[in-house]
Amino acid sequence: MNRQVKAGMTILAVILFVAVFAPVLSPHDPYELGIPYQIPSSEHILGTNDVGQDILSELFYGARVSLTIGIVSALVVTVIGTTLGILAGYYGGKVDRIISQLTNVAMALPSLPLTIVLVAFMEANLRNLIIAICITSWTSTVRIVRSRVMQIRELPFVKLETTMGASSVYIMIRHILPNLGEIVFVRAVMEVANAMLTEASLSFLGLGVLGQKSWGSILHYAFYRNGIINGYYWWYLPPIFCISFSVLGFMLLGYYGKKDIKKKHKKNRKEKISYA
Amino acid sequence: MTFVTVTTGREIEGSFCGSFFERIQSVMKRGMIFQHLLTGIFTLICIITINFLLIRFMPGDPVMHIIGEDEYLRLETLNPKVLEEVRAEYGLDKPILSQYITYLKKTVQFDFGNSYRTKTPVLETVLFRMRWTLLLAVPSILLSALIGGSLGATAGYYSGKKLDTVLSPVLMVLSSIPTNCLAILCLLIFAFRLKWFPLGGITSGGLSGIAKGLDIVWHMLLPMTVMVLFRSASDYMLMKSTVEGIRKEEYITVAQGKGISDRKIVFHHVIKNALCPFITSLCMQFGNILAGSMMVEIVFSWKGMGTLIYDSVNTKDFPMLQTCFLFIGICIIVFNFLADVLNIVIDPRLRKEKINE
Amino acid sequence: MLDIEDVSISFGEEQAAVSEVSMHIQEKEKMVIIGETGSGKSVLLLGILKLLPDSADVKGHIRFQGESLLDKKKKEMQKVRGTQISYIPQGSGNGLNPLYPVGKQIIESIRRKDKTIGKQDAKARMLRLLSEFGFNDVRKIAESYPFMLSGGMRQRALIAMGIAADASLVLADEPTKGLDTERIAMVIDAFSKLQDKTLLCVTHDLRFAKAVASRITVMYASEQMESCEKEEFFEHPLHPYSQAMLKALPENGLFANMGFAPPKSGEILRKGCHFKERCPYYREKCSQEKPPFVTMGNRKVRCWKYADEA
Repeated sequence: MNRQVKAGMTILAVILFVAVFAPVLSPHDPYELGIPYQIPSSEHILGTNDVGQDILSELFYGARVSLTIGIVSALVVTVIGTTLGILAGYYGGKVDRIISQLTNVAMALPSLPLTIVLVAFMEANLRNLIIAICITSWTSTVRIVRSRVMQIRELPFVKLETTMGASSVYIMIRHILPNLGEIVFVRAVMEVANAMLTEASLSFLGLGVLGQKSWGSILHYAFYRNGIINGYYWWYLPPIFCISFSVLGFMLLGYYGKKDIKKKHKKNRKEKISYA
Repeated sequence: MTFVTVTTGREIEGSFCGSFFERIQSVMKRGMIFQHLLTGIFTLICIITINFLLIRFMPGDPVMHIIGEDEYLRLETLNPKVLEEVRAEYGLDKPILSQYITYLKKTVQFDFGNSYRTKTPVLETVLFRMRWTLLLAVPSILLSALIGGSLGATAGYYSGKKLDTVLSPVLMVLSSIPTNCLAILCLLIFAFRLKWFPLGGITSGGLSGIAKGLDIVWHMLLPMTVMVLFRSASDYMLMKSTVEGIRKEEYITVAQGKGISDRKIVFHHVIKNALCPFITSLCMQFGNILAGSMMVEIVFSWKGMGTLIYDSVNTKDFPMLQTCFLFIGICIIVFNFLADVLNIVIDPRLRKEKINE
Repeated sequence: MLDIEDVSISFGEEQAAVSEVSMHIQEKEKMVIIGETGSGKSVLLLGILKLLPDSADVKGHIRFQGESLLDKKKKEMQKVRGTQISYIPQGSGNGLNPLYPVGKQIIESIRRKDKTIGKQDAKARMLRLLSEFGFNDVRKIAESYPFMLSGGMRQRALIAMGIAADASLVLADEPTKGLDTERIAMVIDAFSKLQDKTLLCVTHDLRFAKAVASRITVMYASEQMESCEKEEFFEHPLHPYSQAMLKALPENGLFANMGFAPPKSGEILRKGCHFKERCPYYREKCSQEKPPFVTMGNRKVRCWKYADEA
């Protein structure tokens, strides 16, 4: 495992820890009102916002919403994208044409504006937010998986299985899916980062989950209630840092993890040869 | 392995690559472009249909979505007859199929209705706002493609050397900061603290001629910088990993074996091979141009398409949203098509694929 | 012309890909290195051209016409490549840039030799080269892209490209890999046109070696096992590995009970003879001490069977 992957893992572990243990770690109830605009002190390590809520506690609880939306959306998107990609790539022909056309149409939809409209007109709860994010973000996974499956389909061992009469479903699950591990993993990790970014954007615009703290919504209030013009740095800098930090964690994992996996594969192959 | 078999082998090769082959190639090239065109048109029809369905399936009376909530409530109590007239005008009292046809007709005629808020034709507003978005986004996309692309190519070719080790982590961190956060930080430092740039907007007003032009440039510098920073970081990442891959290809070793200078190898062999993915990404950026700068526009209160969409969402201005979506969709489709065509022109292998089928 | 002395090439901490290889190639000699895939032959070629990645560590001496290549700077080396030493990759790989027509890439090589050459002249020379290497419709070949050509055609185009800048020493990497017998015949035909060049060629195809070589070196798991004239090798191979390879030829009875490719790492290569676990003449000494590369008349061999006699 290389340094960058380790760094990414560490970042993610920290965020996960904070999200899980938010109630224990938080010094205050994030919804509890108090004296507004307090600068950081020993009582409020990161100060308070416009209604006197403790910002550090807000951040801890915010990690929960951001991470939940990120991970759940990525899971949904990856499952849908991989399934469609495998079907399109493996069967080709009509199935491929239908799925590809569907992907084309979905790609021509403006992703962020459409998500905003969907969120604006549906009830803003966790489930709807995830649905809105997923509707526009499954396309790139399909495209990448599809083209990879088309390559794998042409490999000798898959052809061999076909001539030996193995069923399509068996081949897809036993032979094609395991060979997709790397790119699906990378896509999934990047998808988490994407979903977290979208969530941050949505709640920055005031369209996040109603009544729940998230990093984007902290930033929303800091921006729209003049926290920036008044120079309340403790209000807007921490959420910016948290969002960027966690996105960085996922990007490190996705970008360098890919190389790491490749290296491992190579090593394994070499060892196999030497013991053959 | 007699002499005869060798000659026949050669003859077969000769005819394989003969004029016949070339003719097929040029015909197929046109055929493929035509096919991509069809896909584009079909996608456009789907987008229009989705737009149509969006209003019909939103909760509430469709008429309310077309003329707006305030107007609807006013007419409902004061003059229900007008309401029915509107309903008839949009064919909302007819079955859904004829409604769809009416909608298609209106779309083809570029009749998108009036805005709830301003009561002016939607098309006018959208076209006006579009100008400002393009003014901001076109230079920033081109500039960042230039900066990010060239830096990425250099870093990828000299992978592991100084430029790569210094620039890659910096740009990685930069690209993980969301655009709105980056915009807020820049706004804070350069506009609020240092007061080098205005806090937002397009122009201070009250100016004309060259002074107005300069004022607009002054206003757009900061949002553009944010966009260039963000986009060139992602362009850099893409170009770098592409070039790193090409660097390992055998034809690069062969080119080096020919004794060609590094500079020539980069320009002749590496760049052209890296162009396909880069052009595809560039076309996607251009396709998304109308909505792509949304967050930056909102932070800098730049009155472009992004803020228009956001305001329309807040005021539930449906005709406006529909028109925005349609234009964004058209833009994406056009540039997708362009990307496909350019890829076919650059890469001869894509032309062959069709010949085999 | 080319003197290679005690050259070892290793990548990081892994087992050396080439260890202590020595050979002296005379002007116009055709030296063929025979060895299985993974025996370090191709690495040696790239090592001579200094085209290995930075992680490679090349030790020993490589002298070309009396000048040390390993001491040359990057710029100087670039001048040598193409015009004095040229490299021909295998046609089954993508040694040709997929996005340019074949002719254009050959012209690129021609321009290396003669930078002032006009467009028409360069094109004419390129077409002449192609027809020399057995292409009939040369104009069509010149305009077609690499993917349109078959493996054999690509290989011949690569040979044409390799000698386009008139280098005196030609390095070729597995020219017959992945080709059927008919195409191999064409490639052999193409190589027979290089009479006035010095050739260092790497292959695992014995029959190709028989047709092209004047001298032969056998490599096994990064080490040189035998080095001799072609006739001696095919008539009286000394090393057990050479004998085994020749026995495996169809005309010699397809006798192959030797197992698979050479080991790349692990205990086997750490001590003693690299060939020990496949050798029919194995004795205790072979796993304890590495046999020296001994001279036997005008040939050399690395095996305890002969080292003890000498």
